[in-house]
Amino acid sequence: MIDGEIRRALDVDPSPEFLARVRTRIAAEPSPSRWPWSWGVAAACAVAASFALAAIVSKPHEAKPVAAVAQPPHAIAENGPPAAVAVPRYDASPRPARAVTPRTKSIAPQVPAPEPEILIDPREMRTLQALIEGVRIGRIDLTAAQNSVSQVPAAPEPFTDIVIAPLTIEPIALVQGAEGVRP
Amino acid sequence: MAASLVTVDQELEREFESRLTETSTLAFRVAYGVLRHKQDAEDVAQEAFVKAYRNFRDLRNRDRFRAWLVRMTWRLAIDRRRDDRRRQAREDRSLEVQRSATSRSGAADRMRTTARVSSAQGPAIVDDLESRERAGQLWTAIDALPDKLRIVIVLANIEEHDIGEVARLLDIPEGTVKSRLFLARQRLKELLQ
Repeated sequence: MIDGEIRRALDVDPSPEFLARVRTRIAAEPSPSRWPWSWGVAAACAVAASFALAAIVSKPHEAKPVAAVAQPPHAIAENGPPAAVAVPRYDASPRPARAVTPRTKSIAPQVPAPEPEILIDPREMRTLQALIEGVRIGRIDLTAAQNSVSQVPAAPEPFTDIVIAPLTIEPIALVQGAEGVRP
Repeated sequence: MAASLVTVDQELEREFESRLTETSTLAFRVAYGVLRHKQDAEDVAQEAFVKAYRNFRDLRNRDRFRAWLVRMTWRLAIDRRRDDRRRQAREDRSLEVQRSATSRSGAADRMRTTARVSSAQGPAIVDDLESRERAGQLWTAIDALPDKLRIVIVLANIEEHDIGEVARLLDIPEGTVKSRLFLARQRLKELLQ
């Protein structure tokens, strides 16, 4: 009995225009096959834009070749001579944290280095290192060089034959008459 | 390549058109079972078809379209009714404020007029009023059912669906449909008595 009542209550048909309205509405929609394409294109554009943005943002903060400072001398020799190697100026207090700590991008403003860096030729550096190493192990004797440096050159003899004539200035003759009047 | 894409598009359009023709009344009746308002039910069914059209390509098993559409229409109709009730509650509150401002004499006049009109109508009108009242009670009882029981009893009485068809539409076992149908009928009897 209840089912019969429900059936009668639900035995309602849509209006004759219903199907036409649905078709009209669907005709205004883009084709279902175009949706995956458009989503794919949108996703590709978003990925490309994010890459471009990341490249633009990271460019000013790129790490300088300071990282080479942390490398030991033999590592530099193995890698071959770069155009120029930056080394920190000699300082009693070492600053290893600057070379080891990775830089964080766009978080804190970049603090400029307090001291300028000195660029030296890697060949000169290798030569100096080899010299220091040779002195330390006794392969190179610098005594002769030290002696030659310690010899102070003789002072030049004073010039005696220069004669300077005394400078004489004659007084200006006084003009007769009132000031500003021609004689 | 372009020709094959066009062919795929056309094939999809044709398939969707046939599904639309086949299931339009079903979708409307599912929505009507919740909303009991023809225009609202048509709006909801139309919305369900538009959603179905947008996602038609992604539907792997096209044979499941009917069940997919029924569930989507049911959810949309439930949402629509919830929104309507909220709006109705707001309107009722504002009407209440207006009524309190009017005089009682005006309301009494309207009641006397209604009584005169009712006594002047024939017995056919009275029967119609009784059947409407009965239908109103029935739908109030159906609305009082839990959602799971309500959808089962509505679907079982649309287009003479049998237990197996309801089970396929709701993607649940037939035994579950039977037990829910039994519970729904029992509660409806209790509520109507």
